[in-house]
Amino acid sequence: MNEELDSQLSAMFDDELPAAECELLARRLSRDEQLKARWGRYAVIGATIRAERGVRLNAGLAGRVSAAISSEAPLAPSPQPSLRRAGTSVGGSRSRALPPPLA
Amino acid sequence: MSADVSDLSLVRRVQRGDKGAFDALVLKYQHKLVKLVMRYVRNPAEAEDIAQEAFIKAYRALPQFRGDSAFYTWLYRIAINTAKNAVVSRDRSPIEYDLDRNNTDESYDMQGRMKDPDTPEGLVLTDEIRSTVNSAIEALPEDLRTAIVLRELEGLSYEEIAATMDCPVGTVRSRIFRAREAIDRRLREVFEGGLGRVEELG
Repeated sequence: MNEELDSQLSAMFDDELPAAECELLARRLSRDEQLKARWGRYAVIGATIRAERGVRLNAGLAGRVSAAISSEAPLAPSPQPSLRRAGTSVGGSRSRALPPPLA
Repeated sequence: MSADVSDLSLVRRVQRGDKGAFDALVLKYQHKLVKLVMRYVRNPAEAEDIAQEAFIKAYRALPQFRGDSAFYTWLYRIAINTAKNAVVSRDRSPIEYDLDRNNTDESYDMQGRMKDPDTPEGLVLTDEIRSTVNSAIEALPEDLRTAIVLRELEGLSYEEIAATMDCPVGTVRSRIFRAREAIDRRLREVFEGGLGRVEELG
């Protein structure tokens, strides 16, 4: 594994990677199972340090969600604001997007 | 650094039809979401079922997510709503639960009541993971240990950690990365050690 790539992955995990690099790495992350596994282990490390009691670290939850999603149709592409624009809106005065009403 | 840029880059990919990017979001937030749901239900297996349902609802609702709020805030709201609905639904059917008591185990699984998440195997591996990570952290040089703990436990940004440790932000990034790599080397042995008990996606 490329050390620079792993360093970027670690920074991206912490939301400390510039947007342009994030976009490139997100593309790779979504396709590279080895990188995804490392990303998942970073999450396990964080959960352990925070001593999240009662949370199983090997529950297979991500695998079950992935299997469920795989049978769903891919989301339809729709026009979205750019990351830069979205980033500047954080903490701004625009109305916040809310989750859909749930039954 | 703009908040949530990392998540948004993944969210945008999912919105364009890339399901693989959603895996990364689930991997990142699964433990936090289960922990959150466990404020509403005590049973870890039930919490995992609710978290799973919340992730699937979030996936389906992602076309409506515009990025005006942080992704995790939006996701947490879905999880809280899903947990509250599950609790209400469960509380409304206590008699049904009793009547079903002599039925098949499947009927209990449907309600998430009879699942035992704390199987000896599951507990052993979770303990093994915790023990491995904790001993790897103990073995880290102090500057690496401080950096990763400030990040993961205190939630400090790289800039805040740099101020605390009196070093450049680039050094913080490097220390956190090196800490993770050192811990990950040990953790990988548990995940890939031929135990055959860990699913690929955690």
